[in-house]
Amino acid sequence: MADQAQLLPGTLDLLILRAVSLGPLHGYGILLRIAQISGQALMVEQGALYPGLFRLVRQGLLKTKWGVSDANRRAKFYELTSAGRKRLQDETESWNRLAEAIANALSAQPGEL
Amino acid sequence: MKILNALQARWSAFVHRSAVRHELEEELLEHIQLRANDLESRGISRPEAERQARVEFGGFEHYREESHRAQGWSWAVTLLRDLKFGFRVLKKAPVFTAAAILTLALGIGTNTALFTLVRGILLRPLPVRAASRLVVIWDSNAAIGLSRVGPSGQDYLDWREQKIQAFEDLFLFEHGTGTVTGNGDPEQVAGLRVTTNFGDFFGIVPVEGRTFLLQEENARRALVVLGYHYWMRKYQGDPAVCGKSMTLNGENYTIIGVLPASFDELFPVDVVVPFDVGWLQRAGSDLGVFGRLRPNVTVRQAAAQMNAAMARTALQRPDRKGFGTVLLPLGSVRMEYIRPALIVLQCAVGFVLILACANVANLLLSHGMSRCQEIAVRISLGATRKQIVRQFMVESSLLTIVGGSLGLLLSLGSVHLWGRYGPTQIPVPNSAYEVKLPEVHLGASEIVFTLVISLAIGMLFGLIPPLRLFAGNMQAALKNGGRGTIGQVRGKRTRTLLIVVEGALALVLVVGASLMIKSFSRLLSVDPGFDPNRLLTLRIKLSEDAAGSPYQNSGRRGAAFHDFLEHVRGIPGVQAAGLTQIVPLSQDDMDRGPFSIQEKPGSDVAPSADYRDISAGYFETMKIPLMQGRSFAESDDTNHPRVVVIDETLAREYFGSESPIGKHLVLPDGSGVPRQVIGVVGAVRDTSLSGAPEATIYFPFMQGPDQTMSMVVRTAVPQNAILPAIRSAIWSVDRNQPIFEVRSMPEIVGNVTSAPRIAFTLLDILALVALVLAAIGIYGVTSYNVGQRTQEVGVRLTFGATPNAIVYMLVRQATNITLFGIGVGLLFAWLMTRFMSGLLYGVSSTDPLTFLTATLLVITVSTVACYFPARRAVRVDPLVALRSD
Repeated sequence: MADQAQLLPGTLDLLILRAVSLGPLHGYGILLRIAQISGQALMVEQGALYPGLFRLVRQGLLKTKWGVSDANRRAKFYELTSAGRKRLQDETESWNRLAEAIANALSAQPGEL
Repeated sequence: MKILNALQARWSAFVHRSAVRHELEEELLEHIQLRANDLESRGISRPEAERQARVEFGGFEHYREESHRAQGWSWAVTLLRDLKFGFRVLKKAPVFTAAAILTLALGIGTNTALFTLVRGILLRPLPVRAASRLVVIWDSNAAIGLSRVGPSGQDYLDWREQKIQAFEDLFLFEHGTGTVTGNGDPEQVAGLRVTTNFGDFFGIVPVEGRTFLLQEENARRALVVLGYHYWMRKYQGDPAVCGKSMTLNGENYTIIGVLPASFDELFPVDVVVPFDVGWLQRAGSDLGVFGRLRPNVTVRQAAAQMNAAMARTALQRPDRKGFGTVLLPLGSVRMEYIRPALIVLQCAVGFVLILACANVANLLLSHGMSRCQEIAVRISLGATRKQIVRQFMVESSLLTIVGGSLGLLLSLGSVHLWGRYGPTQIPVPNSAYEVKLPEVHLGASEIVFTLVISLAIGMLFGLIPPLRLFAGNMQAALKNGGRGTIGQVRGKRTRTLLIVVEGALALVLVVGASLMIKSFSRLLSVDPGFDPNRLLTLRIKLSEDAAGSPYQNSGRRGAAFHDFLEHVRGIPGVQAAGLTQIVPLSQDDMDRGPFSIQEKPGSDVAPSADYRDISAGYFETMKIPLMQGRSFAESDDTNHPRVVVIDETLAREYFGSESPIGKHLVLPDGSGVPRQVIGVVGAVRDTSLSGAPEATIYFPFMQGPDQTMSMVVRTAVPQNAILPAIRSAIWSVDRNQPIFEVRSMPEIVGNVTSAPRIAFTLLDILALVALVLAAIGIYGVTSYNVGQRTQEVGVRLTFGATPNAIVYMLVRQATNITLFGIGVGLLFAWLMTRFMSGLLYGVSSTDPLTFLTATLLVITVSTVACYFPARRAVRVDPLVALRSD
């Protein structure tokens, strides 16, 4: 697990939104999806996922419904609301801007100044 | 949309609190199970997989709590903590808590109770169409002293014909009674004769059948609509009642409909029958006319148009010359009698609430100040101001909610007492009609009102102590352990203001109550002109209307009444009995008219007087004193010369010092025969105890027997014991003769004194409450102030001041503030009491003696309230006082 990156504060919400944007998921499914789409590079502490999920529900970015999991058991599924979809878009753009700026800053050479 | 979603999430979390906890746990456990499954599929043994899944998940308890909080529960957790802490604080100060809760319960309870009454009685609209646009129309004639007389059928026809612009519709009715036979015992029922626009005018939706059709005014068909309760009682609510017939006054009527139960609130009647055109033209005065105003037409505009209409009428009907009309909204007329009392009381309870609030504010302030050090410590440990303010607000809301709930119980009890002992009927002045007061209930809206008010007061008052605290210096508070030093008593100005307010309000209430006491005792000592004790009244109406009734002959009417009287007089236990057309104070119809004195022709004033038909023995039964001449004898009938008896008011006003005996009165109506005055009797208060007696002419009823008379019976035994004997005595003459409106005279007198009695009783209680609250408030503040000065008292004692001198000084300083408050109160009372002048009898609303005694009372009480704390302060050992905290 040493090669896994620590999450920056505030990025968990973004990852959850992104994971869910690909289709309704239950909690554990979100965890797996984040691992999958980040190429196993980002690992979330499993319990920490839930306060984040509930916060997003309360903010109206996610909605929930009860369904049946692959294992044929009752499970709560999360999906994006339209507000959530919009937030994901905004956050993605601002994240990309930030990442680009940081990347530029870090790759700047003395001669370029 | 976002907000809505968020709200919904929070709300569903709130509603399913335990379910939510359960679901949350289920979801987290499910997660661990799924992870364990995955791990197991990689070849790890099941127990090991489950262990590892738990480890990977992290602190289960921690995340569960955090998730719960993330769902929006943090505020509830904090509130719960604040509440728990608040309970602890209040439990630690039981005297403070009890005082605050009781004070609030009194203040809030009295307000809720009165609000319930006012809402139930004054504010609730009548259950009829456009109730707020209905007005009552009377004839009036100031010249002969007629303030409000019911119009006649002809008046109504004239007005209707003129199509007065201001009104959508005019409605005419007459109260009456009818005899129902052929369906069980003969029964006298309360009836209403109405114009055929009845149903449309009130927007009545009949329970069964229909009401009248407009064209049925010309149909001359005998139709009847039943009242709801009569229908339930006599026909057991049979829906097939329409089309059946019933015998009313010996005639066959067809039942066409049933009124809704709610109509009873306007007219509690058993049967409603229509006027036909013939009736309308014949019907004399004393009918009732309602008008429904067009929207946006004021009563004043309508009155102007009515007076113009009346003037046009007078051109064709000279007997209407000099008449105008009086218009009043129906709602205000019905409650005219009781409104002033309720409004004065509403003000009074408002004052009591302010007093209670002042006391509680004061208590909270003192209690808050004593926690100065605690707060300072909490702030230095990192509590934010917001947290401190919230804590205080939660505590005071706790107090006010508990106080408010206790107040609700109190008002529930008061409303119950009102239902039991309060008046059920109130007179409508000069209308021959009494309004049945609606039953008053404490409903959900009152409960919500009370709790909302309590919460609002709580939140507001919770703000006072922390604001005062923050205004001070926290570091100083930490240093001196919360001990106030002289000249640095925080909240002093607030306290002084509270004392001024309390003194002022207490004075206003005590003045009001004193005025009421004086007025009510004067009212009760008013001599009505007769002796109401052990006097029973009942009404008898001969069935003159019925076709073939023997009573269409006036001689037969006289004979029947004569026989009734003789039989009743023969009952053992009956001391005397007599007949009268109008029972004094009973709000029966006004009968009044002009007269002239034969011996004094051409006098320029047009004299008028109340007319009364009575039997021989009436004055003796009522114990109305005979001043001159003789009273009527059995022989004063149609075979003997026409005679009258006048009362002393008439004798004094129109004969002065001359003896009226042997003079003759002439009435313009009727035959114009001179009637000889044979006697003068004492004046009787006929309409109200507070009004002056009107000039009255008594006629012997045998010289023109009417259809309806009231019998007054003076009994030696309680009325309930003798009533059956009276009934059977009358039935021994005519088995089919109904007897109705059986009332005792004290009951009738009680009715006309009900409003002042309510105001008197309740205002006294409220004034007492106010005085006690003010005394507690003044006591509390003085205790606190004196307590702050314990060291100073110690110093003074050490330097040789006598205890008495110190007590004097402390009391004087405290009293100065109260005196200022009382001064403000005097001014206030002087302005306020004029609003209760309508309730006062025989005492001016600014009666100086009352003001003086009330002031002295409040000064005494407040001085005593200051004295005790001062006395306690000087009793301490000077050494202890010097060292005191």
